[in-house]
Amino acid sequence: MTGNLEQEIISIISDVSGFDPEEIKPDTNLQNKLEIDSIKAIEITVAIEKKFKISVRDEDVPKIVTLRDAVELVNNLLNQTGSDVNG
Amino acid sequence: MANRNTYDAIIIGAGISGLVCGCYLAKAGMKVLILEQHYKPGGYCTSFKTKGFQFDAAAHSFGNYREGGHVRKVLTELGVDKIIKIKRFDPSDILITPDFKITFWNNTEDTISDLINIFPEEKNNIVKYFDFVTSANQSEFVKLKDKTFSSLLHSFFKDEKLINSIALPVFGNGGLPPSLMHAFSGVKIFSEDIIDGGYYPDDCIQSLPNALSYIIKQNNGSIFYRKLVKKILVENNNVKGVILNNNEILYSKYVVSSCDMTQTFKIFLGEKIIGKQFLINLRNFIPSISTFILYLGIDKPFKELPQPGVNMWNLPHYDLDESYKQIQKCNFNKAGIYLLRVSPNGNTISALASAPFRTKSFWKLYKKKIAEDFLNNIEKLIPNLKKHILYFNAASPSTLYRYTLNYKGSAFGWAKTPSQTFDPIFSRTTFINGLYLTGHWTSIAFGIPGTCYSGYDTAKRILRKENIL
Repeated sequence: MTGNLEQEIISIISDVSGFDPEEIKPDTNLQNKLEIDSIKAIEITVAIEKKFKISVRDEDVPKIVTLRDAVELVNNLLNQTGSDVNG
Repeated sequence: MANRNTYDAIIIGAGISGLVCGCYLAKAGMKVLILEQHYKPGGYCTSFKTKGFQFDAAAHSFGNYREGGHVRKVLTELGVDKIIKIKRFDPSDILITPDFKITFWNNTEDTISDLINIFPEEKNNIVKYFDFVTSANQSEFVKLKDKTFSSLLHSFFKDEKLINSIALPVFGNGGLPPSLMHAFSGVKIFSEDIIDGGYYPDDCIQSLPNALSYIIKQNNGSIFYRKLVKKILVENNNVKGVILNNNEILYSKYVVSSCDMTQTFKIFLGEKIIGKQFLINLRNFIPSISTFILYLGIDKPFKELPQPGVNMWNLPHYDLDESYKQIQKCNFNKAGIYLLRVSPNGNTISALASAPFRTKSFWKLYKKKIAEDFLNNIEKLIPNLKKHILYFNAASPSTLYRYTLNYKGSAFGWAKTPSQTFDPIFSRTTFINGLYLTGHWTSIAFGIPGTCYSGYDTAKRILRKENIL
C-alpha cells in the first residue's frame, strides 16, 4: 500500500520538479536537492490533495521536508478519512 | 542528423517564455527553432511605430529585476544585460483615488511611510503586510494554497480603502479582483510587479524580445516568422516534430508549446491523441480577461500629465468586485479603473482597461464608441488631454487575439483563481514524451516575471533530460 502511495507521490514530485523519479529518494530534501521553490511547493501540495482527495492542513505544511515526510503525512490523512489509497 | 528540417527542439511561439526557453537550450548547444505567427518576436511584449509615434503594444514595463530577482537572474545568465540597458523609473506606480494619492517608490521603506501617513491607524498592519510579502518562508506561502487574495488582505487590514488600493494594481496586472484571485498570485504580483516594478529597457519594450532573439541567433538557433503550426507530430506517445500550415514537416526530439493550452491540445494534438475527457476537462477552465488599450500620440508634454514612464492607476471608488462585474458587461466607465502611462520619451500615452472577450463583430460595432468614452473618462482626470492628441487608435481583445492568438484574447493565461491556479493539468511536463509547455498558460506564470520563470523552468527540464545540467 505504502509502496504504491510512494510511487504516486514520486510521480507528482517528478512532474512538478522536472527531476527523474530515480533521483527522488525517501530522504531527498525537496527544497535543497530538487530546487523546489514556493511555486513548486504549492504545486506539489495541490497535486497531492487532488490525487488523494485529501486536505493538507496549515499546521502540516512545514512538516513536509522530504519524500518520506510527504508519504507519512498522506498516509495519516488517508487513515483519518478512511479513503481508498488507490482512489 | 544534418537534415535541414531536423532540430533538437522546436518551440512554438516567440513570446518571452518561448524566447527565454530557446535561449537556454541554444546556449547549451541544442539546435533550436522557434516558430512565430507574427512578423516580430515578443508576444504581448512588442512595440510598433506609426505616424511618427512609437507605442508599446501591451506590456510596458516589468518587475522582479532587483538583486536576487528571478528576472535579473535569467537576463544576466543569458547576457541580455550586456546587449540592452535596463533602467528603472522612480516611482514605478502611482495610484489616484478621490481621497488620496499612493506612490510606489523604488525604496519600499518610503512607500511604507507614505502609506502610514495616509492610514495611520493601520501602521502596524502595513509593516506586517510588507514584511510578509517580501520575506515569508516557503511554508507560509504554501498555506495560501486555497485562499483568495481578499482573505489574505483582510487578515492584515481593516480599512477597505487601503485594501482596494493595494488590490488595484494587482487586479490590473493579473485580471481578477481580490475576492477571486489566488492569494499567492496576488502576493507574487504585489512583490514582483509593484514593489519591485518599473523596469524598462532601452528605447522601447521591443528591445527585450529583440535582445533574446539576437542571443538565439548568436547560438546557432533560428526563428521563423509568419509560420503557423497546424499539428504537433506524435508517434507512440513520443513527439516527433510539427507540421506547418503549408504542410511542411519539421522534425525534432522536443517540442515546446508556448501557445495557449486550448490551441496546443485541441488543435495541434486533437482528441485522437489526448482523449475526449482531457478536452472536456480543459473546456471547464476559465481564461483570464483581456484588455482594451488606447494609443494616443500627443503634440507635446503638458503639465497635467503624470511623469513619463510611471504607471498611473485610477481608482474612482473602493469596490473592485463591482468594477469586475461592470467590466464583464463592457461598462468600462462604470467600472472606472484603468492604467495610464506616458511613454519615457513623453510623446505617446497608453491607457489600458480590463475587458471581456466578445466576438469580432461586437468590437467592429462598438470599439470606436468604447474608445471615445474611455478617452472622455480619462479627460476627467487629465484636463485638456484631447486638445493635445495628434494620433488616436485602440486595440480591443479581438486585436490582442489577432496578434498573439491567445485564447479569447486572454491577457494573463488561465484566470488565477484558487480553484484552477495550481491544477496539475497546467504542468509544464505533458504526458507525451518530449512535449513540454511554457508560458502564462502553465501554472501560476503571468507577466514578464512569470513567463521568464516558466521559460527558464521548461528549458531546465529538457536540459536535465539531456543530461546537460
